[in-house]
Amino acid sequence: MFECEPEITAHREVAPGTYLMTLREASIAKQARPGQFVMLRAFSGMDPLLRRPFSICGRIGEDAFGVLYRVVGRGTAVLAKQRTGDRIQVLGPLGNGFQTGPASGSFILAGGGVGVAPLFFLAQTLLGQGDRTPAFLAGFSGKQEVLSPGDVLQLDLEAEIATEDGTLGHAGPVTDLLEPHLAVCAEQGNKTTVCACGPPAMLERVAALARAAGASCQVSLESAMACGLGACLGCTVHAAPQEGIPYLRVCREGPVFPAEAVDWSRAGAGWS
Amino acid sequence: MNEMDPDLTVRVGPLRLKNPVLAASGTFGYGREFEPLFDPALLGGIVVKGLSLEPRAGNPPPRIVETPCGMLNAIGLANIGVKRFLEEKLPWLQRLDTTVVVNIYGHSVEEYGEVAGALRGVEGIDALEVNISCPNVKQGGMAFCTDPMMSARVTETVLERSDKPVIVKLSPNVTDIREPALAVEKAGAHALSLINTITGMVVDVEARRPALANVKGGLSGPAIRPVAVRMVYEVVEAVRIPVIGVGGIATAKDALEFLITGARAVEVGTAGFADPLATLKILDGLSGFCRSRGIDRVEDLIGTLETDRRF
Ligand SMILES: Cc1cc2nc3c(=O)[nH]c(=O)nc-3n(C[C@H](O)[C@H](O)[C@H](O)COP(=O)(O)OP(=O)(O)OC[C@H]3O[C@@H](n4cnc5c(N)ncnc54)[C@H](O)[C@@H]3O)c2cc1C
Ligand SMILES: Cc1cc2nc3c(=O)[nH]c(=O)nc-3n(C[C@H](O)[C@H](O)[C@H](O)COP(=O)(O)O)c2cc1C
Ligand code: FES
Repeated sequence: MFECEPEITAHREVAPGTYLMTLREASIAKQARPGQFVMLRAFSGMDPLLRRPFSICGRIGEDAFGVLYRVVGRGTAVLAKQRTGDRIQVLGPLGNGFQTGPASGSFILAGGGVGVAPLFFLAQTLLGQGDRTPAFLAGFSGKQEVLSPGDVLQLDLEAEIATEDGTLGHAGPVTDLLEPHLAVCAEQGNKTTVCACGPPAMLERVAALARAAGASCQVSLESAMACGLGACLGCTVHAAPQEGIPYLRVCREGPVFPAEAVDWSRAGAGWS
Repeated sequence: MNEMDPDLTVRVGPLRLKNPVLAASGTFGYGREFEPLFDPALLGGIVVKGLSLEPRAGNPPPRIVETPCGMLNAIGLANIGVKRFLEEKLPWLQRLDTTVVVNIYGHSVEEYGEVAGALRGVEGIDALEVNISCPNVKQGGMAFCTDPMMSARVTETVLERSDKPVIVKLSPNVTDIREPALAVEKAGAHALSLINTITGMVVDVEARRPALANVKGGLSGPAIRPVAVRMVYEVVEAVRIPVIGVGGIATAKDALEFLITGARAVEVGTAGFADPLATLKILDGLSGFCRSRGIDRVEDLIGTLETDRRF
């Protein structure tokens, strides 16, 4: 874990309102695991106050990493104004990432919107391990919003795209794409791991489909954060009853959880 | 130590702190959470997360929301309880070479006493900080702090059961903070710390719902600093026991406001979220301020506020 002030070495809008920021910080780039996140602060002064959490979306070159983010409020608006050469405050890498293990079996990555960010890093890592090419499924509202691993991170990986308005790929939710993949895996008796990130409703559906197909499932969750270090207890989500504790800290026990650790009936509470 | 370095040690009643900057309760976990970033022993002390007799789950999410220059939280005093604290957290704290303050709370006078009793004789705990901002379940959930008599009873009970210096942490959610301050002093408290968070509320206008599941929460951060300075001012005028200033401190200048007003030390909370190294930067800044003004001991600054009307 490092607290540093790296330089922005590249910053571009990859889809309307969605940006890829490249930060040169070898220590974080080397240590980071897919699914881990950083807390960013690009503002001086006290308003806005808190750092904002963002997944690491991949290693870029030897000594840099990327953050793929969507402008949704004040903090991200300030972030979008930063230029190449500026420095911003970064704390990370934080949290627990995806468990990929040495085991064989196939991976299906399912992302919704900018939720593809941690999955890009996971795909990059799996691709780097030789024969572990994952299936990459991604859903967006429309063609304009599409973020593909090839375009954004130059990964040699074809994504299956779904759009809600049908302007590109399958017309419908990304979970429609997941079902046939799970069916194939179930038929072949393959050990399958689904890794997902996106809106809570999508994740709940992905978790249910994976469970029904006997696949294991890991999800990357979001919540508002203050410290990112496990100290403030501000970022909790409801835990499933068998966890033995009522709440899980997204920043510490997560942000990636086994799907069965989460109480889906109350996931995403409060996020509109 | 460099000869030019000012002496940062301060006395807070029976406590001798290596410097006047502590980490505030609930914002620094059990200390170890920040260890990957810096050595917590560099601080004048750490105040751990509020501890109750039994583990408490806390409030449902969302628990926090940002506000102008601050944040609102309704964590609900979630904590692991005394037993697990002693087993899992204390051994590390005992090895830590700085002052360790355990923040405690209860929902009845008896519970405060029981927590204090459970920590009696435990090595490595240098003081208790008693959070009296909690609801008293036996009095319809009215917070202890709103009633000077209840505040005094909690203080007496903790003092009876404890062998450690007792700091009582005052709430700003009262009409006149001098009343609980005086009551608690009379009950025998060794020191006071103030302020805790200010009750507030944020509404999500799109959802037409409160931003926090608990509806109300506690406001902290730079937004509350002037309120905290004012209250420290009122209390140091009124009492003889030492006061620790808390509320919105983010820079050395902020800490100096409290010290000059008369606080003998400060606690830093929310600022540590915006910058996890804030406490260390405040310490550097304090040294720098003293050095540049030829002040040998930070204690010489405490309570040097001039209030004669020469404006
Ligand atoms: C572990 C983790 C990883 C994340 N990774 C990414 C990422 O890779 N790319 C990306 O674009 N975003 C990511 N997010 C979400 C990102 O942190 C928020 O979008 C950001 O904090 C919003 O800041 P803001 O100041 O622009 O918005 P604000 O003005 O703070 O809020 C604008 C809106 O966003 C909501 N919001 C605020 N914080 C969050 C949050 N953490 N999660 C969900 N909604 C929130 C608010 O309720 C409000 O409706 C991640 C969040 C977490 C917890
Ligand atoms: C997330 C959070 C949790 C807190 N938990 C406690 C607690 O358990 N006990 C307590 O006495 N004060 C608690 N506080 C209050 C702080 O210790 C401090 O009094 C207050 O936040 C004002 O200081 P600040 O503006 O520097 O944060 C908490 C504050 C925050 C922000
Ligand atoms: S953000 Fe503070 S505990 Fe998770």
